[in-house]
Amino acid sequence: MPSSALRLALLVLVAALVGLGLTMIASTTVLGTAVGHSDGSVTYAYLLRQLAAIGVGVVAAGLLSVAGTTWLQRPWTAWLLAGAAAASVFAVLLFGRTINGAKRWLDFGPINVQPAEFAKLALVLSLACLLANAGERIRTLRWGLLQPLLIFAVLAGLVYLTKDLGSVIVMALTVLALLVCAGAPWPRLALIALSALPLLLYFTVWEVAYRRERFFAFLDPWQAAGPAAYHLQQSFIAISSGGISGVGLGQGSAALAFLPERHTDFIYAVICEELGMIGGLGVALLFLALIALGLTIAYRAPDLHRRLLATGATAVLGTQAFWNMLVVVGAAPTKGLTLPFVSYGGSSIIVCLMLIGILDACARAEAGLPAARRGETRIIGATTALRARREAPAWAEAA
Amino acid sequence: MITSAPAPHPVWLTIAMFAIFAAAFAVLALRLHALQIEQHEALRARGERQRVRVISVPARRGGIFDASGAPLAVSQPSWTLLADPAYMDDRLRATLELERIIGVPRERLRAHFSAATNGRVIAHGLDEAQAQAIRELRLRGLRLRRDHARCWPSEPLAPHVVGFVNDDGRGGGGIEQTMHEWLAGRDGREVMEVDALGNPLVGISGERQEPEDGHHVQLTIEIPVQRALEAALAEAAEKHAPQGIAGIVVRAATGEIVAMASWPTFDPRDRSTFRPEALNNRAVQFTYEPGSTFKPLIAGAAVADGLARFDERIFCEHGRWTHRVGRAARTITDHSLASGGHGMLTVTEGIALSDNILMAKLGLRLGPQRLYEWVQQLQFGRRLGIPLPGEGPGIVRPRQAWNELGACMSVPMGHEIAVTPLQLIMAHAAIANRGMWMPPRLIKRVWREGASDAALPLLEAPRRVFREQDALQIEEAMTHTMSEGTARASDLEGYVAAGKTGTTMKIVDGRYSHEQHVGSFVGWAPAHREAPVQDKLVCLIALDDATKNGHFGAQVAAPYVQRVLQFALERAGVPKVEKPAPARRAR
Repeated sequence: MPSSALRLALLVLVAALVGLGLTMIASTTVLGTAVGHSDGSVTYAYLLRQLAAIGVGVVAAGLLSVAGTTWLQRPWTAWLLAGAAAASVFAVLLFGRTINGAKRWLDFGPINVQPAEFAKLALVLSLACLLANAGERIRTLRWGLLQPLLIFAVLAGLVYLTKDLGSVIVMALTVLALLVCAGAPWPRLALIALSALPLLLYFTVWEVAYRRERFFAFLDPWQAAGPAAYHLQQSFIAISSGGISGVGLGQGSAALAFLPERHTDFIYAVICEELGMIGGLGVALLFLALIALGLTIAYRAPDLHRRLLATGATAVLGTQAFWNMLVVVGAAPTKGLTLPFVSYGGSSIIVCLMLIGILDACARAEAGLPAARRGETRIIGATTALRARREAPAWAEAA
Repeated sequence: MITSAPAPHPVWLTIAMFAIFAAAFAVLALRLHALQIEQHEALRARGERQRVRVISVPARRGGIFDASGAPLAVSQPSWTLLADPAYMDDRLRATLELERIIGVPRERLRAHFSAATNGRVIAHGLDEAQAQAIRELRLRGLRLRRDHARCWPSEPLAPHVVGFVNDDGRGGGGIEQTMHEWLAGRDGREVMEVDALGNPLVGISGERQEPEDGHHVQLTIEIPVQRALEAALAEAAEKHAPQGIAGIVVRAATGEIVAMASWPTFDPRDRSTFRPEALNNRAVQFTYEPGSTFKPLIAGAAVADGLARFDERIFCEHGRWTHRVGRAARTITDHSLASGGHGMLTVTEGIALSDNILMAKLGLRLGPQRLYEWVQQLQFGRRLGIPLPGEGPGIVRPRQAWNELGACMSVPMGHEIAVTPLQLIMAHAAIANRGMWMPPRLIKRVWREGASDAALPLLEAPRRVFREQDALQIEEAMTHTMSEGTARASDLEGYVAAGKTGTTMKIVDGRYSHEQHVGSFVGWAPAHREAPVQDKLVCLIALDDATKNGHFGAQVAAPYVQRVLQFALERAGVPKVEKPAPARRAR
């Protein structure tokens, strides 16, 4: 498959998912009752805000795609990005806004930024950079395990403090994929992970009552009590009402407000209700196709850095998408994760689109498009000039 | 050396990663299959259940009317206020405003609003103005429901007969309780779809089942007589300070209860008056030894059995008599002992003068078996089936406990037996009704608008207990009570009345009390030989433990019976007669 076809497929897939997301957000939020106002009014605020975020995301993705990947490979990029992300998550902990009992948002007037989403992006970029620059040293404990895990520990630790366990899990799985892909001594990593897992589970899940309740509610929501169980019950009711072909767009009971978070974390339940099993499996297939595309781009990447970028982006999007869907159908514990491209939420969609921009940059690089190369040079021209005055680092040879 | 050349990247790694996602997809597909196909119906039904709210459309409770059709208790449209605390947003304002509008104390409101359950009833019987004021508050979590409130005419009458309606809409006490199934009707229902906040969905009309209004009940009670009886009881209560009073007026020919009252009483509008002793309907629940009021019945029984004649003269032992059976003996005295006692008296005179010894002799003539049968025949010792709650059966000891020295000498003077005022008045009404015992009748008609009358609860068949001529003789004897006997001070003006006083000591802690008495009087008019039976009204008043101004039936009960009967007869337009001058009788 030529890379232009890959890129076109990527574009079509993402456009389909974003379009579906907008449709479902309209279906769940336009009626006033759907968002907790009983006056029966009609509101387009959610739709407009999501459209604005998509606009920002598309521009960012375009810039990332055009800028290429070289500038992301500079040695201190890893630490800079990780530092910035860590700082912003830290800011959330200090000044964050609390929604539904979780402190995850930075309030900038009309815009709420959720730095945890950006932490995922930063993790992919910084680890790809770090591991790609490690070269043969990847086999050493320091480069292959300790440094990547340090970045992960700082970012994930801060994200964990914002009570966003779901993002931590996505980040952990992404780190695992990157380390394996980079040829890190992952058997040793697996050993460490396995020995640390029970301890980790105890402190992250068992110790906090609401988390424990949330965690185990999915095993049998009809017997369990509490908000998490109620949430799942409503999700099941919505999903099952859909049957094979669904009740039709906008016809779902979700508009009656029985299902909480129906336009964000539980939008997949609304898809399954309104579009049925066909729609539900269709969305999952779209994500599976996106994953296949991402992995193909990674496999065909001309260098390790791009392979790691593509793998990381695919891992973040894939794990988040499937974890979200499995949560909604009661096959995984509840973790406040969004469904990429589909759920309402500005930070989420911007980061997802940025990841697609990076994937596209990797696919573009693989094709070796001269125009893109020129564009890339133009944009990072200034730094290239700076760089030229110094000793030419090894990575410059690639550029 | 770092190279830009791709590191060896095994295909299996890519395939393994994809395989993990594919496995997740498979799990997802299995779960969707389970939820959307296998559990489709079950869960969809569950979803529908939570979306559907069934609202009860209350039926209008039937009214209760007196014999002339005047209302005793009717239901008027009103509003009931309900709160759904889970949906409330401004509890503070709701508390303050509702306290102002409906006057419920704010502590009560606060308790309601902090409760965990929805659909809490805050207030009943709100009028349209209050409902409108609440609507204008536009508070979330408050609902108004169409309802009906029980209303009474300006001054509630016969509360013990009519009863009251509890907050849950069930009748409590009186006809409201016993006829609840008829009065209540059947509530309709409205099925509507709601969202999770309980708001009905606009534009979706659910099924609606119209309510079926309750039946009206017309009683045999006549409001003017009832009012007179209640006034008489209130006055007696004032003057004699008893523990309680029972009063009944019965139409002899039909057994219809024309008035029934019990003191202390309560106000169905005011729950604070619902004390147990006030809710007690003494007319059917009070059980007491009837004393002398029982005598005419047994004298009549002895005559009816051919064991005596009314003009037969019996020696009354001058007030003290010892009767021996084998080695056992029992001495009884008459209240006339102090004034020398009675010598020879006819049975008629014995009734009028209420001689104990004459009655004991008649009881011995009857013997335990016949006496017991007569008590049964006159319907003592069992409930008469009047549709009022808590009717007492009275106390008639088992047959094997009846013997010559005990029951045969005691029961004829109204001891060793306990009756309810209702039982006693019905037995006397049988005498007034020329020997026909009529079952007590309280309900005249049960109907619903636009429908034919419903069948009334079945009454017992009337039964003849005395031959007509015997009944007339007893009645004649009882007129002497009024003309020259124990109740001569309470004779009626313009009507020949028959009656009998009674005073018994109450049994307190298993012994006769010399301090506590039940003073009673039962009488009727007109009682002259030619009086048409349909004119005859019987009245009984019994005072339990009068503590002031006497305790004898002649003092505490007879004057009030006189007043009630005089009023009721004049009101009914019963013609007055020229009364013969009272003939002096031998003492």
